[in-house]
Amino acid sequence: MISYLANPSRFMGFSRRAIPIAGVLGILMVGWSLYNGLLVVPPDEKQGGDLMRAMFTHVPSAWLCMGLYAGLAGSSFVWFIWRHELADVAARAIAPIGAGYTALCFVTGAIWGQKGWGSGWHNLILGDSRLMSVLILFFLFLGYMALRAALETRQKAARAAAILAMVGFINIPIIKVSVDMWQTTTIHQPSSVLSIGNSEPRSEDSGMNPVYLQQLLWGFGGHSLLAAAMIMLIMRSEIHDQRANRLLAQKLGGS
Amino acid sequence: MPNFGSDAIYVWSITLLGIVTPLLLGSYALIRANSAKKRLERLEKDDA
Repeated sequence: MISYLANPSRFMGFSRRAIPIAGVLGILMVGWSLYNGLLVVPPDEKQGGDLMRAMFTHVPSAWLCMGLYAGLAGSSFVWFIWRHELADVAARAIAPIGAGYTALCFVTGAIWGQKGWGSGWHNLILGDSRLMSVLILFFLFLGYMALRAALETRQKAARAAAILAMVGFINIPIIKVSVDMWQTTTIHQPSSVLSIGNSEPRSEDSGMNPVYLQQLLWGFGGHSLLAAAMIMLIMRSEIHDQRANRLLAQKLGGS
Repeated sequence: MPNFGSDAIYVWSITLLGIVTPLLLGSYALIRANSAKKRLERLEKDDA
């Protein structure tokens, strides 16, 4: 499938049909998740009563921002090894969407933490390894975009930004394990869906109730489809820009 | 509207951010896609 779409013409044909489908499905799934999360599921007293309803926005954005960075690093790797132009186009398109979802995750986490943990933003950011590592992820996305814009030629910019994206991938496992392995540096709750690296025995009631997990998965699926639609839109604009630049260069060369 | 008591301001502000952010990102992607397409079409028209 990926090798089939690696051809820009095939990608343009596929994305023309896929963007509206992904966009509409994404809106419906996010709407369904929010409807159930806000109005249907009972409050969870273990997670602060009604305050836990914030999770139906915060958690999908947290999963997605890490997934989008993995996509950015993966696309950069493909471009770096095989010099596949469409992989570079994909990396460029992922960066602004990833930065947006990382900002959403960070801000919603800080608002939730202010009430849930009773701590001010300043203490939250400096004293919590999860929030700090997400903030670093946001700066990695910004740094990637800044580097691409700062260098003169497209090839130089793509090479430098790809190296930054690949090196920065180390932050993804750091974000993941920050709440399980470094519990003294975080007030964030431990992972309740997928726990990695936590050797401490977990209490029976620390897992995610399926009633909530189902809505989280609807929200994550919906936001993923929305992000995919937006990334394909930006990729199409990048391809159009490249064609326009080639046409302009031919005209200037011919005149 | 459900009553979330003292948590309402936090729950609704987070939910609102969760709706507004994808809307803004989607608008950015749409505007960029449309302007790039129009630029290419203009150049192709000039070229013809």
